[in-house]
Amino acid sequence: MSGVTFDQVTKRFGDVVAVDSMSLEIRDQEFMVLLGPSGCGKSTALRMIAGLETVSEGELRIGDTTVNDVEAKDRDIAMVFQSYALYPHMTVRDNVEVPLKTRSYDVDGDRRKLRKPERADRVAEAARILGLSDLLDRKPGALSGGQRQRVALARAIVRRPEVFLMDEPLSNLDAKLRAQTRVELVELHRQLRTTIIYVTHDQVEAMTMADRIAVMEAGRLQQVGAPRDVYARPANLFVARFIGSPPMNTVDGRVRVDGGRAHVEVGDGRLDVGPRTGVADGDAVVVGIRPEHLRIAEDGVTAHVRAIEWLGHERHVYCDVAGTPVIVRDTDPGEDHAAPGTDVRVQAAPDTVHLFDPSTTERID
Amino acid sequence: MSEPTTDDDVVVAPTTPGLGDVPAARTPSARPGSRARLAKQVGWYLTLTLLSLIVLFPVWMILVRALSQPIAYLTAGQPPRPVEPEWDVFSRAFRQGDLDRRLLTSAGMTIIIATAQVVTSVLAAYAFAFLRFPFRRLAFMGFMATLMLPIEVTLIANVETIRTLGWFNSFQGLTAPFLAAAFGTFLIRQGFLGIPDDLRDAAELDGYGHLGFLWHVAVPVTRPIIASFTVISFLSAWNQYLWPRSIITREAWDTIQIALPKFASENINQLNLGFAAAIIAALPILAILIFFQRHLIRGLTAGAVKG
Repeated sequence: MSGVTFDQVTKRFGDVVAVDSMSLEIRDQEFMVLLGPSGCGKSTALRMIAGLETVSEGELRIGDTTVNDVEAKDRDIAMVFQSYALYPHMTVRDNVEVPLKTRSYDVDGDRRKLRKPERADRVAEAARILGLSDLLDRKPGALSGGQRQRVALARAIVRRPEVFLMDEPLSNLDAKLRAQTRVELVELHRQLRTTIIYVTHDQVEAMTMADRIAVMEAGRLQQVGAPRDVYARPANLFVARFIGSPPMNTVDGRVRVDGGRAHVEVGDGRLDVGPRTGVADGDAVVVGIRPEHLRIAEDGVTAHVRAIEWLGHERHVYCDVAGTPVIVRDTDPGEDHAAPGTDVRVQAAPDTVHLFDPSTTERID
Repeated sequence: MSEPTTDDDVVVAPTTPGLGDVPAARTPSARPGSRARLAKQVGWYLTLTLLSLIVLFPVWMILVRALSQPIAYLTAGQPPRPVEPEWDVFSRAFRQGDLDRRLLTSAGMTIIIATAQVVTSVLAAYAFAFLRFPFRRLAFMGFMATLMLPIEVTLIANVETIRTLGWFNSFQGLTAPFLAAAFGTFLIRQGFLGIPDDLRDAAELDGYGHLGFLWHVAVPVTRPIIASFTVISFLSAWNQYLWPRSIITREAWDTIQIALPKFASENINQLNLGFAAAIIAALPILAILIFFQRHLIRGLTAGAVKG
């Protein structure tokens, strides 16, 4: 088992910088999720670990070994693809067995090709873990999407590699199967106790499965941390707006410091943000408040209600605050605080208000 | 697993369950448009039957002429049915025309050409599809340009080369100019390009090198295309006339296609022997088509990747 280290790694395609000076240490046995929108460089980063893309600059290590110049077939990693990438002319058994036939393995201190009974044992074990024992003689064309995904996972785990790479493996499954497979992947990680690096643009997958999340945008790492930390303390405006559904509300404001306490003027109202050290009176800031932390109250900032979505267990109240769209997530839908077309006032507890520098977009504590 | 259903099994369900207004299940005969669909299907079958008859008519007429006693057939006004059939015509043609030797020469030439063309086309197609090397595009364009050159353009130069090499009246001479095929390279390259990138990446991570990927993944996945090209290659090699005619000077090396017109002109009073020999000459190709038909299946890549 091994961790993976990016040390100032850059990947260029011609003039396009897909990954820009990325430094990230993925720990041994960690479930790390690379999260970001399409084109942010997360898949390129994964493909560099796999050896399917070369490293333009910097150093990439698997364990203690620098692998910049090691070919994909010589790296001890396995990858699960979004499209499953199963061999269509082979049975499930043959698909799972392929990496066992082509590579040498350490057996009792001896590095050699596996014998047929040894291969059969490993295939049977992988099939048992993933519930494929009854499907071994079928071809991929005769399997459902979920079953194909399991075959792809079996082909990966049968090798017992140092690192598993997963490139949006759930995105072709329907919502119900996706939720089920998320849980199974976490269980699989617990069973295998190996490093998993998982790429997705789906924040729910990231939040529910990851030990840590690495948020990427435009080829750059934006924030690395446990899901709870990334959600609670976004490092910049991108992370603040990307993590969370509905996303964090962000509105322009100006700081007023009054007797040791800071307030932010937003539109015609003020929000108490408590004692803050990183701001001074008169500073322009971007105020970030998660929809569930905003509440309709007697005082605060004026919000013009545009629409209300009732979801059964909660309501989303769509408003305009100083010309900026804002969502209030009202978890007490029984009470009718607002109606479309009317003005209300919204308020938030000081410790739930995030401040960001409008020029650098970085968080201000 | 539910039983497979056909369109005729479909029962229209109420769109608003629980409201009590359930429409009656429709039977196939009551379904609007079913008669029009049947008529359309009958029309298609009639058209296809007619087209098949048009294609098969010349084959039938050769068979009629081969079986009919030649004078009686001409006297009867060349009807589209055998006249005074001579059932031993095929064995006589085979014997008198020395067809076994001609067929063997043709078979040897065809097997060498088709095998070599498939092997070289697969390898060249792999290089053009998957390898990165300088001037790859230019090389491929040059390769394709040879498609536009008919055999007549290079005939004299090739004959001269074969003569210089001393390969007249030999399998080397019969096959050398045809061991690689631009068309096959193009066709199989297109098939290889259809292999999803993920499958290539997965094969690389699974430990397949170039040859492993080619043999274990690329060739099996593109089998229908390779089978199609094999049939085309067999057909064109077997039917070659101009090239063998140009470099074969001894009768012992005559291919079946060269022997046929000679045999027919030598037996001008027994025209049916010539027709029988033509049918015998076509049988190996028919066998190849029947053999490869089951390989010409589509959708082999179904299930490889999602979507």
